Amino acid sequence: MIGDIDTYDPIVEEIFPRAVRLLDRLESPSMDTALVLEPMRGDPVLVSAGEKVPGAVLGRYRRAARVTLRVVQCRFVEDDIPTADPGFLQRAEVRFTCQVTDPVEIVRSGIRDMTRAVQPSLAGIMSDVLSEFDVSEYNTALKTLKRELEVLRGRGGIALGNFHVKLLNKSEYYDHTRDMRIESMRRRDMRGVVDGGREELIAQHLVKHDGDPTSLLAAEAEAVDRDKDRMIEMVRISTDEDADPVEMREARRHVFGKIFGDPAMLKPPERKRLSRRDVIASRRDGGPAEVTAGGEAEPVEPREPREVAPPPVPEPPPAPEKRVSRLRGSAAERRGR
Amino acid sequence: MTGRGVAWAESEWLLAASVWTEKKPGRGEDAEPLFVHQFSSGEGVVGVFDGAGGAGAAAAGTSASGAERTQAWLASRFTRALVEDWFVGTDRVHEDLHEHIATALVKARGTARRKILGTMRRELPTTMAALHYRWGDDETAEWAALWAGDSRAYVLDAQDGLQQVTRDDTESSDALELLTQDPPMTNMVCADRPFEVHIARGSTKVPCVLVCATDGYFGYVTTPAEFEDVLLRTLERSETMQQWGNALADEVVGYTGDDASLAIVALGFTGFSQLRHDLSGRTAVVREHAAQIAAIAPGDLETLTAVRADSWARYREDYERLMPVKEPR
Repeated sequence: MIGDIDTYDPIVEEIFPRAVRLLDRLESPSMDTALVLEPMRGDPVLVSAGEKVPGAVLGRYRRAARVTLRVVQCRFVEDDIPTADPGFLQRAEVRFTCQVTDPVEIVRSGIRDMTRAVQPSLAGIMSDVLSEFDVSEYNTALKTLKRELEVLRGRGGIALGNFHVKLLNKSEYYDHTRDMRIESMRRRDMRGVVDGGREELIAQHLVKHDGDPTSLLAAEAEAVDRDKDRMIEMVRISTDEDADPVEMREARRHVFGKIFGDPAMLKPPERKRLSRRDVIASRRDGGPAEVTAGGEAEPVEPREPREVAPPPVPEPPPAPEKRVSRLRGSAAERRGR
Repeated sequence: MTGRGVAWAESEWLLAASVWTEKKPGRGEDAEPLFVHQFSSGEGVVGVFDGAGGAGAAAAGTSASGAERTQAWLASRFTRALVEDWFVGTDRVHEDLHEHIATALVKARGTARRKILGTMRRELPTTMAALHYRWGDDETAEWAALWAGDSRAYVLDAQDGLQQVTRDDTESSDALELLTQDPPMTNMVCADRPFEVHIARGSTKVPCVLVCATDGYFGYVTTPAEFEDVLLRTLERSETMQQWGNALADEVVGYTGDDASLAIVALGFTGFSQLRHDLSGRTAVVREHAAQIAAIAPGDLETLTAVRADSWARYREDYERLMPVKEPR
């Protein structure tokens, strides 16, 4: 698909001469043009600069065309050129010089827009070449394309040359490649720092801060303070009677872990998720439903009031084994008993 | 024989200079540059001719003063005279120039003929690069470049700088590659084999400068841009066409390894001051290229190669803007 374009009309003047031209005789062409005369019958006549025009006054010509012979720079932008990557279409700007080598052929073929006349064949070459290369092979693709175009000399009365090709999506490719490379380089460098352990990390920090350890020491002091604060809070919770038993237990675990360094103490125990049947059984036993950590309590359905005969005075049941409820508020309830 | 010559002309709207230097005094194979202008028609021709010393090293005869002349020496002068004759004595049809030269050389061949010639040897071999121009009262000047071999013609203007309007008869047409490799010519004017006179036509807005030069001027610089720098640097320090011509002669003997000839025609300038003023804008552009080369440490070939390639990549597009296309085969 053609985009922006610079072109020219090789036929600079077209005349349909009258039979007798006493006052407007056909003039010899200027230095940079050729005159093509189409007689009523027979082959066209070519008149070059400096040559006399045959039958300038009385010659029977159907048409006379002046064709420029100048070297002209043309340009077009080709959009949506396929590459080897189906997701990436290339744009290319092609500049080239164009010159009429056979004015008669130009007049015969009626070319009035030079760039559009040659664009399909140039676009075909670009498409053939670029579709062989991935976006990452930018330089090779460009070199190959230039080589292919240089071989092309033109035909049909037109000569082409001095090709300059610019791939317009290269910045996108370069940005992508550069970012990838920078990231890769950073990862490689950082891996060395990480592998070097604490000392290497400290060294890296000093490098990044012009050898000033202030911020590093401040960060470390802050971390120690935070740790202390947390420890104090844990101790407080673990001894606070009003504290949530769950929090209390977690706090104790933390404190013991810190003091005794026992990782097992820090690890919360595996807890079996109760099945619906366990929950119902538990309810039947009169115990509150238990929830898994982080889960919600199974709803405890209110018991239906039933009219029943006064129960026989039972023997006092054995004191139920004291269970720690994990439902919030149950501790206060127990205290009220 | 002095080994150098400068000629100049200053007229209303027309300034011209030609410069010619010899490597070995009295034995130079470049002809004195051609410059003829016809005021009545506004037409003129300017050209340079470089006798091919290798292929034309054989003796062609002895001059009236007793000096031995080579085929190359004779060919450049003879072809110069033939181009002048074509301009002065014919209808100036460009397509006729080849025949005009070829016929005359074949006739001349009899007098300078050698019995044994190898395949590398040629009879009366020379390059030619000429510009036939016409400028009336229009804003543009028409021109036709006529050449054979590796001498060059250029258009120089304030906007796009120096633009080559010929294409060397060598396998490559890359100006930087030609500087570093000096490949053999595939076509030149000669008497014993077919040759071609290429024609490229164009027109350029006036004021403009037309330049023809042999490889003694452009073939011994570091980058293609440096030749334009030579032209503008010498122009900048001159007050008249005569001074510019002399400055160009002084400059070229400082760097060339060959005979060198150059012809300049400036059209449409009110005088030398306007010429110098109008082209001063280009000076900074080409000076930057030259400065980058000058900053490279001697012997640092790697940097030189890289900087040279970079300079050429930036300079090339405008330089080749008017370069004719290689004809289809």
